[in-house]
Amino acid sequence: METRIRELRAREKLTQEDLAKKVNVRRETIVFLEKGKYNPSLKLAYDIAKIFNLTIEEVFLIEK
Amino acid sequence: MLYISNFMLELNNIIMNKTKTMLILMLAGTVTFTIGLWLYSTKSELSIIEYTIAGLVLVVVVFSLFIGFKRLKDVKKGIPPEDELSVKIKQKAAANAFAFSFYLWTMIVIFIGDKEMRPTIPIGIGILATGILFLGLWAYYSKTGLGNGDTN
Repeated sequence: METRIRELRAREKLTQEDLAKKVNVRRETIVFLEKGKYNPSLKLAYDIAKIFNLTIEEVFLIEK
Repeated sequence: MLYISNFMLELNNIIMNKTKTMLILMLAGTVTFTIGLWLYSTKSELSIIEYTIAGLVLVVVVFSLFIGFKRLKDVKKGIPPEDELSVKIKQKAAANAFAFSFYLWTMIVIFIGDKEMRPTIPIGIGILATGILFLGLWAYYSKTGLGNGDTN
C-alpha cells in the first residue's frame, strides 16, 4: 500500500519523530509506513489522516 | 473532568511501561546471578555443552538487558516503548519461533536423544535454542518490517 505520508509531512514541516509522537507510535512505524511496508490499523490510519486534516483514502492509496 | 481522566490514563501508562521494563531488568539480573552462582559453585570440570548453555544464556541475558535499558530510555523520552507494529513483530517472531521449534525438537531427539546425559541438558538446549531463534527472528522482522500481507 502506498502512502502520501512523506509528502504531507514535508508540507507540514514535520519530522518522522514529530509525527510519531503526535499519533503515539514509535518512529520506526512511521518509517515502515512511508516505505509502504506496513498496513496500519484503522485507528492509526485515522489518527494520521486527522493530523493532516484529510480523509484516510486521501493519505493511504490502496492498490487494486 | 476529561483532562483529569486523560492525565490518569497517561500516568497509568507510564507506570505500567516502567513496571514491565523493571520486570525485564529484574529477570535478566536474576538469571545472570543464578548462572554466576552455578559457575562459581560447580566443583567438577564443565563440559563443552555446559559452556555452550552458559554462553547461550548470557546471549539471552545481554539481549534482555539491551531491550530493558532501551525501553527505559524511551519511556523517559516520552516515546511509547511498544506500539501496534512492535507488538505485531513480536507476535510473528514468537509464532514462527514456536513453529520452527518443532523441527528443532525433532533434531534434538534424533541427534542427542540417545546419548548418555542428564535429561535436563537436551531440554535446556531446546528451550534456549527456541529463545535464540525468537530473538533472531525478532531482530530480522524489526529490520525488514512485516510486509503488506501480514499486518492485519
